Amino acid sequence: MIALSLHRKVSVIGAGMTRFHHKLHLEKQGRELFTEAALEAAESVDNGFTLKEADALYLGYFSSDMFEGQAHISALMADWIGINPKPAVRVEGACASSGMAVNMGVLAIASGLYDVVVVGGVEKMRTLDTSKVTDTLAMAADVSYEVAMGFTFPGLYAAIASAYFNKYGSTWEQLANISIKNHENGALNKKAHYQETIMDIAKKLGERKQMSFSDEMEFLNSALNPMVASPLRLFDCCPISDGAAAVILAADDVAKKYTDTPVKIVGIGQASDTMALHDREDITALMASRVASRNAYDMAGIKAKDVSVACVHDCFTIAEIVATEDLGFFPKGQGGKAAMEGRTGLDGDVAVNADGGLKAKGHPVGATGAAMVYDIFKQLRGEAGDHQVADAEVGIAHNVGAAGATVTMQVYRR
Amino acid sequence: MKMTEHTVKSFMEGLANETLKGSKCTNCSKLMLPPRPICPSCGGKEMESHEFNGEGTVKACSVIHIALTRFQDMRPHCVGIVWLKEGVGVSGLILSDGKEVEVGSKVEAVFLKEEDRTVLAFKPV
Repeated sequence: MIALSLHRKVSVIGAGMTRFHHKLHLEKQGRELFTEAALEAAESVDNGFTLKEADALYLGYFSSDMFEGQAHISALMADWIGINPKPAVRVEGACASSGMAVNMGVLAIASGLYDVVVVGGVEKMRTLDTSKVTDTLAMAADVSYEVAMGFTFPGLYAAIASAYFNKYGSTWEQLANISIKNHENGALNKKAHYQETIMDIAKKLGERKQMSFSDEMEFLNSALNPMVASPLRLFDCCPISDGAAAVILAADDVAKKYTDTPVKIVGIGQASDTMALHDREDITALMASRVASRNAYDMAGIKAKDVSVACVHDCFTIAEIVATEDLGFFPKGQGGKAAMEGRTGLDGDVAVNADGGLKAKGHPVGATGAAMVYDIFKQLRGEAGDHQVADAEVGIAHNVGAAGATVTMQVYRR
Repeated sequence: MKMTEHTVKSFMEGLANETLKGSKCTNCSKLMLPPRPICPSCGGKEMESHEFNGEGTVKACSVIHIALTRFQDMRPHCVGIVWLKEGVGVSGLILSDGKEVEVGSKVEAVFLKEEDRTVLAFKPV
């Protein structure tokens, strides 16, 4: 059974992240990226904070082993950010690794054991070429029963799209619309991997190939947007990014020492589903998203309609449509249409992926859940800059591991 | 239960012998493919072996253009989730010359022998 409240309340008092990028960090290791994010998080604490004040570290890193040939990464990071002898724990839940790290940090403080913890994540992916990255990401799926039959990670979400299109009659244009929106948002975010609209990219790539495009859809329908796993094309997929994010959590009773404007974590949730997508009767929804979000909403005492700003896990465009339905923003089969109508834009009913989402902000796998918290922290304090959502009161972070075998959620309030 | 039954190895050996070997819960009769030691429905731990006949319909499919290292020479190849007649899902290659097949198409299992393993595939019928 799950309690409806935590014994001790927890707030976010600081957050930092590197820019996510495919080229900028080629000369750095994961340790340098995470240190940069952790230092920025410490510096963001209003009344001052040094990392040595942290009681523990919870770190998400999906595959330091494959990407950097380095294991025991929790101890390495604790050492590198200078917090020895404080305990450090690596949390691995595929793309939900740092969403899990955030929840673990909340539970550790709520238990009374610690007052302040650093949580976060990092992924240094550009050490491998695309085919090796594809192999590594596929390890988040069932290697014996899905990957051995030829399924890639994009292939699994393509299967979700295939079933979704068949059930609801939706088309690829709804997916393309998500990509256009998230790139528009990413263009406003200084931390985003791609700070360019689809039209900016169409012009740049078009000039190189001596092609011109009158609008986004013409470009997205062209050979410059090749198929990855049908029906998903390149611009339906998040990029391969390097990056890190760190968040400082504190018990409410000590948070006031550090800031007058903490962001409260009012609900958390996590759920598991079958490892293999093929074991689920309905693959047009992620059951774990529904369970994790309901648990988090119940703990927070809110309904989906109360959410003003939502970071949802859009590793592929279809994933954002499915997530906005699973999280209760729109009825099943209506997520794509709602987005087309602008209801998930910066001034929509709920601003979905105001930071550009995984699509434009980038997706260094283990950093993503914490990077969502970074943006929610900024949004709820009115510090998000050009992609600020007006009057943001309630925010959520929804982080999915692989094709939904793990989902984490938090609800935040200013 | 012998721990050599209802394992990944027993499934793979089944594929090598051109059979789809799963398990059936002796308590609630739930069928499982691949085989498992614990029934996800009732928690039962007594399993018997069950052979699936390999006929089903395509529930979802995708043509993979950016392939795994191991499948590079088949690129592009179609993969799918097949819902078997017995009411369980399974992943497999779809032998359709690298083209999508319609959701709902009828297929049957075939077993692709490679040097060191057998890959589960389905062909349209």
